[in-house]
Amino acid sequence: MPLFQPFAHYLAYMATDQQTFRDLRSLYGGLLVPGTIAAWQRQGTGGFVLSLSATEASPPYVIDPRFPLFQQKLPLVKQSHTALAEIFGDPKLVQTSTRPEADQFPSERLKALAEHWVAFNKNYGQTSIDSFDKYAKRLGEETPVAADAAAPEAILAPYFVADGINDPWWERSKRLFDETLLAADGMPCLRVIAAEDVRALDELLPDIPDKDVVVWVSGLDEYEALADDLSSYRHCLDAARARGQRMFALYGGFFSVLQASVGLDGAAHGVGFSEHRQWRELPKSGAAPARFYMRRWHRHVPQDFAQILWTRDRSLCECTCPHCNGQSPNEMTYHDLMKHSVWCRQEEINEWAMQASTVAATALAQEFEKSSEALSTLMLPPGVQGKGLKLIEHLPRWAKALG
Amino acid sequence: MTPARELLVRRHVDGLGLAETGEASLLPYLMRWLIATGRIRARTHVAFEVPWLGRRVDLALLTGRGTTSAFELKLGRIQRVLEQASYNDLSFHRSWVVVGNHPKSDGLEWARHLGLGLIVVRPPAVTLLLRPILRTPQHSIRRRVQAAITTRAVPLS
Repeated sequence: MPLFQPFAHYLAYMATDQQTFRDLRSLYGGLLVPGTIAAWQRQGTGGFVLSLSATEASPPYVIDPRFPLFQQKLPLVKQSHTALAEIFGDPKLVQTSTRPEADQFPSERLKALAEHWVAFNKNYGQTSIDSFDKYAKRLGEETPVAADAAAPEAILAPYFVADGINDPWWERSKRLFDETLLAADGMPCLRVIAAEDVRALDELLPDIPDKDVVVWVSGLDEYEALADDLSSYRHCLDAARARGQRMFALYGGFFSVLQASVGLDGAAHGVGFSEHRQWRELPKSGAAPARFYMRRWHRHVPQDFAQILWTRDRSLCECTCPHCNGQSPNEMTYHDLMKHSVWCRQEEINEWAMQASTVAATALAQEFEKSSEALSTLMLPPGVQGKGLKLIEHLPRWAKALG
Repeated sequence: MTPARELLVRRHVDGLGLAETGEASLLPYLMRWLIATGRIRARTHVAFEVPWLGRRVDLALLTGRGTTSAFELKLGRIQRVLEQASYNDLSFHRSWVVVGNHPKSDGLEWARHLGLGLIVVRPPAVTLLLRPILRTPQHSIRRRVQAAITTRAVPLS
């Protein structure tokens, strides 16, 4: 399964990124389609994803059920929430005034939810294909035909976020997977282990027999997390690998790429953002902000901050990619910035995923030293130097976590 | 004041209201000064809170000849606004800092070193301390800045 062919690079789909997805077909392995978008912009998303799947490159795709949405109170209901609940055939999933409890999901309800989700996945090529021709034409020279549209690579079973094996949501989550497997009738299914934190993931992973699993630690922000938490995440993945499990991270940035050395087989991220996610719904969402990806620091930075560095010491943010094409950060258009970021991640995978962790740790520590020195000697305006030093704080933490 | 300038005051200042606190309290005095010194003319586009690279520029001007200026206002310490103004300096022809107090020597020195303009507004007095260096932004950036200003600007009569 492509999701577990190291190091699998999947992009989370958003409608604003279609140009990037079309132009960079050789630079990512597959698509992760959020269930909310698949449900709300059903024909547009279907037309785009299915026409892409019908091309010669035929990138595989999976649909994330985003089920933890229905594990929380949703006081500000979005149309995508209700559309997704309808896909599940259960409009009462959207709770606006009270927080749902695990016991509100008895076996019969879980069975029905799983059956609806399986039907949606199995019939995706028939029920979400009205706009196929419109999107197929946009793909340019190789106009795909609807008959070649592919089914999802696997069904990602609906899941709940759990705090450990004694959390009642975990038992429901496991049952959702079993029901999905039953209803799928032979179509590949994958379990998503969604954990409140790293400790919970370490408890949950050994509790299931699956060889292939998708993992998500809620809110694990690689840039802000403590070295100890990152180190625990790494040990947890390593222990799962020792048990013979293969893992794909639902969200991940560059630090996740470095976890290839302990058995992480792939990760997904949004174009230009979404390298981590809190399971509790954000009141606001939208397209990625226009930011510049700094290859040396393995992170996005504000565009005008990068421009200042560019004017003072070009080596800090210079890039050889075809999307930068010699432009300064401020000159780049939104889509240049997005394509540059995806290109960089693929380059990082090519360069770093197979590195020994000690080599990677040394390189990160050295980069921190070099960048600290450069930032301290560049005569940057007040505030800019401090911002720069803050933007590289993750490097020694990552180095330490790699041990 | 000439009738033409009175018209500009009516267009750009009268609608500002009378903010008593915050940076906005500096604006009416600054605007009158910009008009009085010929920096805002009949064909000048004037825009507040202009979205630019994920931030908002407090005040931006686009002259009839296509020259752009950015103003960042701050009542308190100048240090905090120097960062924003130095970012603007990369995209606008002129970048200004407008403060409510005479800055300390290190702030003044930084503004001079960075080539920023510096105006002190202590109502009703407005004092020009430093003139900004005229930059030549890259063509594509200039075009985008101009578009951002005209989109947001008070319509020219």
